[in-house]
Amino acid sequence: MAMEYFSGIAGVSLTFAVMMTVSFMAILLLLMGLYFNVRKWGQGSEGWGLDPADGKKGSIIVFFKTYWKQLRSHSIHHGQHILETLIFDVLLLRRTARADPLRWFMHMLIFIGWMGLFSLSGAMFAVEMIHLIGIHFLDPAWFRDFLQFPNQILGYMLLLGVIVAIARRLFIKKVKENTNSYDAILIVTLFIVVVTGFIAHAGRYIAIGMTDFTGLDFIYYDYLIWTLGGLTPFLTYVKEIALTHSILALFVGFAFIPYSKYIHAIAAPLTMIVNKGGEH
Amino acid sequence: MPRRAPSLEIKNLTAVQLMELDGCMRCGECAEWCPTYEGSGFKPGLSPRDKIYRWKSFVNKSYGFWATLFGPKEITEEEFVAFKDDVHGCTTCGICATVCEAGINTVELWEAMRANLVKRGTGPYGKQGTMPKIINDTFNSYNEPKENRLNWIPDDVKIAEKADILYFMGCTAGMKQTNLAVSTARVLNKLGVEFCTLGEEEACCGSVLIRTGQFYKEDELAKRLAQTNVENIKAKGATTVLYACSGCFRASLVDWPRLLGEETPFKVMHVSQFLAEKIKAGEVEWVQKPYGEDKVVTYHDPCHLGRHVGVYEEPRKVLQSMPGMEYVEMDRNRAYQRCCGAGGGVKSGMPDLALSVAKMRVGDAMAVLYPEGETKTKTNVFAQACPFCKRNLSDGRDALLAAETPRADIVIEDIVEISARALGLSNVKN
Repeated sequence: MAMEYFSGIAGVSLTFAVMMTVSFMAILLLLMGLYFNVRKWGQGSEGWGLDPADGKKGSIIVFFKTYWKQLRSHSIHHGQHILETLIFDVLLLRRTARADPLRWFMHMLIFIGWMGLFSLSGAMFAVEMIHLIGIHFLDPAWFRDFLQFPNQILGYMLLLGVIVAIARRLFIKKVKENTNSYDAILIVTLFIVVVTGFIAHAGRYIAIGMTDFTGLDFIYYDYLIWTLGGLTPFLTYVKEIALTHSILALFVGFAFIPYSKYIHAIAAPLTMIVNKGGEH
Repeated sequence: MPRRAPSLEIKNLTAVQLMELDGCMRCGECAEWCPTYEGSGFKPGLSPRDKIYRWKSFVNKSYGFWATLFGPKEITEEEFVAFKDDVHGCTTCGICATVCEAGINTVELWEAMRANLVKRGTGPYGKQGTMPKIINDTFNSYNEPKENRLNWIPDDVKIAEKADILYFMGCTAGMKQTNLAVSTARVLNKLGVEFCTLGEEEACCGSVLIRTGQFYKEDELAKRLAQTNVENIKAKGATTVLYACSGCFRASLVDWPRLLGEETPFKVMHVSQFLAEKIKAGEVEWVQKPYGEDKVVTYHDPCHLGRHVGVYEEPRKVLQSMPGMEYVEMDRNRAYQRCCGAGGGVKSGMPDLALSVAKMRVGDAMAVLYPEGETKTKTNVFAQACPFCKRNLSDGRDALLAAETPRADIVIEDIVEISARALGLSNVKN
């Protein structure tokens, strides 16, 4: 089957130029946001009890220097090894597991789902790029089909995680009372990205009439469900839906990180690492 | 049009601490455990999560993305004052750091925010502001003449001029709760441990100044106090310094090296650690049941001894080794203990809040000392290892039990005082 670029399928794909432009804009926004955040952190001082040095306020060097200094310093608490922090606290969210198994389950689903889809999308993009420049060591069409199953599993993990998150915010009184727009924006945007992702992906496959999922037939039926049995609007406007999803995924799920509560996905692991796993 | 200057100046907060604010995922676990949030009847502003969110918004309004592009947004004086009141309604017990899912070092964050507010003239809270001058004038936190540090010493106690081991009394044990100092000295004498003290030359450890964000006041007073103590301890030739006050112990172990920029040239130990070592070495022989008859005892981990520096087991070992003491554990113990409510300047600044928290902690003890259905007439023991905890828990007990009939008579004593009893020693001077 012929294919175009950026994980598209012939006939209903987005153009390479559009997606590259959108991607670069998203990356640019992400980098700019990260820069402004690190610059903000650099407003601080280089050590306990100190004021920021004159002429160094807002310096990203100050942040990295202070971070490195604290990382290397002795901890009065357990001061666990950085690998232990990375594996147990950052990747396995041990501190969350101790506190609340339901929240841990939700967080892990979102974490694995998001990171997995992000990585696989990156891998697909890389394969297509390599193919585009004339190195044909891996057939992008084959690789795209190969990713159907893991993509679908990761998508459902993410969806389930987001549903649990929404349910907690709606039905657990204490959580509901303490939810503000800062929290809500994160969950709602994530939900929209995930749902449009399922529809766009399913629409693209149904639209090209692909029904052969030998061994993985359930994926085909799953696609039918997301397009409500292959309803015309989903198939007619599949390109627009796919574009909407891609833009949302790039801007909301990626470029928006430094400007929203998503920043915790970067700052929390950095905090755990620099505090050597935190107290206890 | 000229841009408005940022309302918040970043003083006393490190670059890493500013990052930690963004690491908060607002899970609310800190609010579930915070003793003053609960003790206040869940006043929203006292929740650690809320404090992080508000301070983060202060930082963003002053230095965030939009502030950088279009100029800082104003933070009103009322907002700063409200925040000051809330950030001082914290005992710096550290449970929020223990349970924080992002591993944020919240205690350091609260102390840095307090220092920042003090520097801008918004803090500290209430009469906490008198402490720097008092300590600068008298070198103690009770405005007492320095010779009063020696009033507690009974005639029978032998204190060497110089020794390997030095007992750092602390202002509270030396001047107010002198039974603790008397007990410590007599226990050391009984065990044949030669020790000295700094006598009149002992200076406040500086803990209260650091906890309330005032450490730099009076020409870097906290640093000068640390310098004075370290120099005097060196002059006594001591290699090990013993503390019966958890606040002083924490200050010496964590704050002095940080203030002075170097490790202290002596070993720092809490008396409970010292006693546990002696018990393990078979050098302690209890001679009687501490209270003459069998008692049920539970132990409260002082925040400054437990969560802040990780001493949990030694005090328990001491209590469990004594005859006539049936040890029971409270539900909330060790790293998950509930604070007594006195620390961080709350006892002096917000006594009602301190009392409310103390009552909850005494309630925790009551639940195990007097299990459901048991009559509350028997006297049982609530042990701890910090004079500040003792004072506040005693107040909490009196307030909680005042209306009870029959009234449980809980003895609240320091582990060193109980040790003195078990060694057949008196806790009082004469």
